Amino acid sequence: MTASQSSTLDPITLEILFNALRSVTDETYIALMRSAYSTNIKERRDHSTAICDAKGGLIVQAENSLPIHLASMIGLMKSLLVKFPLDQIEEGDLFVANDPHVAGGTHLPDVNMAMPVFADGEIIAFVCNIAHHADIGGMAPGSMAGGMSEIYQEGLRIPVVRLYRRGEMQQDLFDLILLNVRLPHERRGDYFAQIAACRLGVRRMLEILETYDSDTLRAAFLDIVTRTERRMRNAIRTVPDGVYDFDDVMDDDGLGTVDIPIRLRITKSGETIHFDFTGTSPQVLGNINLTDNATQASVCYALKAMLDSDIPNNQGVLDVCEITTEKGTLLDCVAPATVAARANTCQRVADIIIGALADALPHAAVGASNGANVTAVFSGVDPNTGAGYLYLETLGGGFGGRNDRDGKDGVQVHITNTSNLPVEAIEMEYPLLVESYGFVTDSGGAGEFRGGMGLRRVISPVDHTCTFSGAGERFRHQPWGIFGGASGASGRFQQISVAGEATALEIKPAGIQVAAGEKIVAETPGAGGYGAPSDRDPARVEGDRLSGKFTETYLKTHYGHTAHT
Amino acid sequence: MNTPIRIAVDIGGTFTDLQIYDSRSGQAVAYKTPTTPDDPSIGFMTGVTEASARFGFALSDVGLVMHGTTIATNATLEDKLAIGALVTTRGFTDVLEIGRHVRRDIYTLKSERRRVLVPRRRRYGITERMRADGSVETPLAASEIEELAARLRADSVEAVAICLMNAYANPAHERALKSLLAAALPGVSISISTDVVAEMMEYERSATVTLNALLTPVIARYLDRLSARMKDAAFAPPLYLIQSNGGAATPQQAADQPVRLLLSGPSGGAMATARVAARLSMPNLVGVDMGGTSLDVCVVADGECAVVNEGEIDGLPVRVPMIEIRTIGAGGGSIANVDVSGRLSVGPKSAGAAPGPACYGKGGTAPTVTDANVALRRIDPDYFLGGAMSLDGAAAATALANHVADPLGLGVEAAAEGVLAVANANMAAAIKLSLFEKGFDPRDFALVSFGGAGGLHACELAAELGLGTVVFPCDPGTFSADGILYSDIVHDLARSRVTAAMPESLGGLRDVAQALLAEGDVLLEADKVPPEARVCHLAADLRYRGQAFSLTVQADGEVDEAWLTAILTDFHALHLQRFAHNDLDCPVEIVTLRVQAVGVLPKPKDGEVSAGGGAREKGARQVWLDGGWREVAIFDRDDLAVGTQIAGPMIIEETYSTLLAPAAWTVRVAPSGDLVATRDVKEIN
Repeated sequence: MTASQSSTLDPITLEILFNALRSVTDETYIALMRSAYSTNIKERRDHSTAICDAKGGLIVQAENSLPIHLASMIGLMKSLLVKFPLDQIEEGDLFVANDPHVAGGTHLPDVNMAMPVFADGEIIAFVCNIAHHADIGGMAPGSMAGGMSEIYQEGLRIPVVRLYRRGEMQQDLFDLILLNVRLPHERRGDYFAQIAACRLGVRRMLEILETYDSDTLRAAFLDIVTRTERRMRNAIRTVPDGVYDFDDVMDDDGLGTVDIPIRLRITKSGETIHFDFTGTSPQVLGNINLTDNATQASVCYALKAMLDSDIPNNQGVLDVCEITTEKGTLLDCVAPATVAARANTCQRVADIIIGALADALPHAAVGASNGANVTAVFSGVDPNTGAGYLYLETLGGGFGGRNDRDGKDGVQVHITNTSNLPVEAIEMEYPLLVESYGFVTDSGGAGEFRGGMGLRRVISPVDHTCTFSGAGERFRHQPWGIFGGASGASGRFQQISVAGEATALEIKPAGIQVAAGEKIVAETPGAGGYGAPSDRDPARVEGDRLSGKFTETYLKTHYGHTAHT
Repeated sequence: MNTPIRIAVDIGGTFTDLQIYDSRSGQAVAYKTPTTPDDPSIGFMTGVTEASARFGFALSDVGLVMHGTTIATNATLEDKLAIGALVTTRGFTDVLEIGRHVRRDIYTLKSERRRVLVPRRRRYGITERMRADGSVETPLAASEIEELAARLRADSVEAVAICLMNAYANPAHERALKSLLAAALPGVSISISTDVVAEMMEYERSATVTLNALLTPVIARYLDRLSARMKDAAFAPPLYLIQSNGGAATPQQAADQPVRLLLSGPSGGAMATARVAARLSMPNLVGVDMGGTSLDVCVVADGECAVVNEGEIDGLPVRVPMIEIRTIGAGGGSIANVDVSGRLSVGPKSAGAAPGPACYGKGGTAPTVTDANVALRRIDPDYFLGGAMSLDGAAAATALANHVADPLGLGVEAAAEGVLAVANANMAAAIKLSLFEKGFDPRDFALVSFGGAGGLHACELAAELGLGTVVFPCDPGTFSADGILYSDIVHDLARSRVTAAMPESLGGLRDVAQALLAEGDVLLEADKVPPEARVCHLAADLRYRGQAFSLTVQADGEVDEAWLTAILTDFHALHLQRFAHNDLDCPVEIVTLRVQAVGVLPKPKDGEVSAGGGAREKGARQVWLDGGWREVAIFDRDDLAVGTQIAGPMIIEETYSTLLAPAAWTVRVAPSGDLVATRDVKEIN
C-alpha cells in the first residue's frame, strides 16, 4: 500500500494548500503583533493564530503559536458551536470569548476571537486568534494576581458572544467590555488589532477559494488531520508497550494549600497511549487550576515534543492523546475555580509526562525544567504624570539537561515562549529602575549534561511606593534531574530594605508595598541535570568554572573527582 | 575627463564579478574571475588588472571603484572574529547571553545552540548608571578603570565593545569610558554602542556593537592588505565599500563601522532591481534571486528598495538600516521528501554543493529541485553552466523514482512536476509575505529573476502570484555588480527619544533634527563630498502611544507645525496600509529621528543595445510542460536581438542559467537588453 492511498486529494495539491493555509496564519500572526498595544502581545508575543474547520477542528496554526494557546482555540470553537449552530452564524459575524468555564478559555486575560469563512453560502472554516491582554479587569491590575478564591475576582468573564453581527460592531457590548478593564483606550487598540487580524485572515481564505473550490479545501482539511494522526500513531508505536507512573507536587496555591500532588499513569499499547491523572489533588482555592483543555494542550505538547517535534500541530495530534481526568480536580477544575496562574501547572504537567516516559525514551527525555511561569507584577501611580501604570512580566529559567547537551540557561520552556521586556523599555515606560538582570549562580543542576541556569532580576520603584505581586513555582520543590543528574536550584522572591536587609517573601505574594529605595528580587528556578555528574567531561566542568556561573564550592561538591584544584 | 572609467568589484563566494563602465563610450562591460577566499584582495587586483588588459584601459584611467564584499558576513558566519571583550553597566553582563530569552523552535526539546559573541569570562561590569531620561543615576566610577584595563590586558583582547544602559539617551558615560580605556589600551579597537546605533533596546544594541567591535580588526586587516596591493599596482582611485543599506562608505568609515557591511551581499541585487525599475519604467518590482541553497527576495516599490531598521545574522540581531532581503531555504539543491504519512515536502534541507543534486553524480541520492528540472528536460544535461559540466539524467530520474514517485504511486514525470509545484508554492509564499506585510498587492508588481536557478521557475512563480510580467535582466551574471556601480555614499544616523507628536515638542525635535543633519554634513565633509553633492533626508519613526513597533515615514523639510501635520498624516495612512486599521484619535509618539546623509556620486548613463535582426533558433527538444512532453524551441540569449518578440513555450539558454517561458507567455527583448516576458491577458483573467 502506498502512503497516499487512503487520502482523497493528490499529495501535491495538498502540500500546496497546506502551505497556503500556513501562510495565512503566519501573516495574521505578524499583523496582530505589529499593531497591538499590550506589551504582552507586541513585545512578548503572547498571542497565536489558527484556522479551524467548520466542526471546530484545528487545521493549522502559525509557526510561533504557543502550545498553551492551542487549548483555547479548540475550547473556544467547541463552546461556540454548541451555543451557535452553524445555520445561525452569518457572514461578517465575529465572536469573542475568554471564560475558562463556559467558553473554552484557560485564563481570563487571553481574549479569543473567531470569524467564519463562507464559501458558496456555507461555512467552510473559522479564522481564530488569541492574545493576552495586559488587563481584563477584576480585583488586581493585570488580572493575573493570586490571593483570590473565585474566578469572579479575577476579571471580566466573557461567554461566547458576537462582537460583530453581519459586519456591524455591537457597540453596546464593546462599551460594556471596555468599561470593565483598566486603561480602556489601550485595550480598545488590542481588540482592534485582533479584529483586523481576523478580517485579514478571512480575506486571505477567500483568495485561496478563488483558486480552489470548497470541496477541495474540505478534502485538504481532512487530509491534513488524518495524515498528522497517522504520523503521530506511527511515532507512538516506537514507545515500548507498558505502564508508566510518575508524580510530582506543586508548591502551593497561595491560599494555604501546600504540596499539591499531580499523579499520572500512562498506559501505552500498540498505537494508543492513555494518560490517566486519577489521584491528582482536588481543585484548589488559589489560581493554579487547569481547565481540561489546558491539560490537553500540555499533554499534547509534551508527547509531540518527545516523539517527533516536526509533526504539524493540528487536530490529529489532539485526537491521539486519550486523557482521563476527574472533574473538580486540579487538572479539570469546575466553576468558580480560579485559573490565572494556570501556566505554572501546565509546565508541571509537561515535566511529569517527560519524567514518566524517560525510561521508555531516554534519548528524548530531559531533566525537569524551571517548571514555572514565574510572574512579577509592579503597579502604582507614576509620580511624574499622576497616571496609573502596571508592569507585568513572566520570567524564564533553566531548561533541563538533555541526552547530548546541557540545558539552556535563562530561557522560556515548554508551553510558553514569551520574550522578556528590555530593561530600557521598562524604564522608559514605567517609573521603575532595574538594578540587575542575569543568571543565578549555582542554579543549574549538576549532571553529565547540566541543567540550565535560573534568572535574577532586581527592581526598585523610583520616587514612589509601588505594589508588588508575584507568582512563583518550584520555589520549594526543586526541578529534579534524571538518570543521576542533580536537581536545579529553586527560585525565590525577596524584598530588600533601604538598609540592604533581605526579607523572604511568600511563594505567591500579593499586595506587597515597596517604598522608594527598596528593592524586589525575583529569582527563577534552574533546571535538573541529565546523567551522573561523575560522567561530565572535565572540559565542560572547566567551562562552568571559567564562566563564573558556578562557585568553586559547587563544583567541588558535585564534580570533586574531576574539578581542578 | 581624465579618469573616465568606473569599476564595481563584487566579491562573492565563487566569483569576483566586475562591471566596468567607460564614460567615453557610455558602455558597460562585465568581467569575472575566481574569488580567492584566503585573501580576497588577490582576486580583486587580478580582476582589475586582467580587465584593464582585456578592455584596453589604463589603471590610471580609473576614477572610482565601488567594492562589494562578503568578508564581514563570512567572518561572522564562520566565527573568524577577533578576540574581544564587552563592558556593560554593572549588573547587566548577562544581557548579551540571555537575549530575549525565547526559543527559536518552540516545539522541540533539542533546541538549537545559542550564539554568544563574547564568553562570560570576558564580559565586565562597570559602576555607572544613566536613567531613561538621560540624567545620571550613578556617575561613572573612574576608580575602576585601572583594574578593568588590567584585566582586558590580561585577556589579550584585540577589541572592546561598550554598551551601557540607557546610553542612547545620553552617551556621555560611554564616551568617557572609551577615552579612558583607549588611553590605557593602545592598539585595541574600542566600539561604543551609541556610535553604531543610538537607539533603545539594550540587547539589540549590545549584539550590534559587539559584532562591530569583533569585526573591526578583521576588516582593518583586509583593508590594509587591499590598499597595499593597490599601492603595489600603482592603482589609486577613490575606493568605496558597499554597505547593507545599499550605500557606499569610505574605507575609513567601513573600518570604524564594519557591522554596516554585514549582509551587504544581496543588497547589490536589490539595487540592480531598482535600476531595472527605472530603466523599464516599472516602479514596482519584486526581485527574486534563486541560487543553489537559498532564495533571496527583495521588494522595490515606487522605484525604491524596501529598507528595514534591523537585520539578523546567525540568530543575532543587527540593528542598522539595511535593504530588506527575505531569505528562505529554497534553491536548486532543495531536497524533496515524502514522510511516513505520505506528505510531500521540498526543502528547507539542501544537498548543497557536495554531494549536490543526484544528477551531479557526486554521490547524492536525494532528489532535488534541480533533479526535477533535469528529469523534465527543462535543463539540458549536456548544456549545464554553458556546457562546462554535464549532468546525469538517469541518476536524477532514479532519485525521484525512489524517494517521490514510488512512495506516492506516481510516474517520474508527474512526481518531478509535483516537486516543482511544491517548490514554487513555497517560494511564492515567501514572496507574498514580503509584499503582504507591507500592505502591497502582488498584482501591482512585476517579478525580476536573477541568480543561477531562478530562470526556470520565474514565469510559473509569477503565475502562482498572479503577476503578468517577468523581467530577465541583461548581464545576469554580474547583475549585482551592476547594482553597486550606481551607489552613492550613505550615512545613516538615528537618535531615539520618545516624544509626544504635539506642537509643544517641536522645539526639542528641531534641535535633534538639526544636530543629526549637522552630524551628517560633517561626515560628508570628511568624505570630501562637495557641498552641492550633499543631500540629507530626515525621517521619523512613529507609533501610537502604547505600541512597541514603530513605522518610519519620510520627514523632510522645516520642523514646524505643517511638518508635524504632514508626518502624522503619512503615519496614519501607512498604519492603515500595513495593518488594515488606524486610529486618528489616538495620541502618537515620535520614537526616533533618522537622517540619511547622501553624498551623490556622478552616475553613468544607461546604454542602449542597438536593434538588430530577430532571433536565431538554436534547436528544439522535448520538454515536459503542463502534464505532457512537448517540442520546445531553444534559443541562445546572445542570439536574441533587441525588438525581437517570441511566443512561448521556449527555453532560453545563458552561460550560467536557463530560462523558461511556458505557453501563454511572450518574450520580448527591450532596448536595454532586458528580456521582458508577459502573460497573455486572457490567461490572467
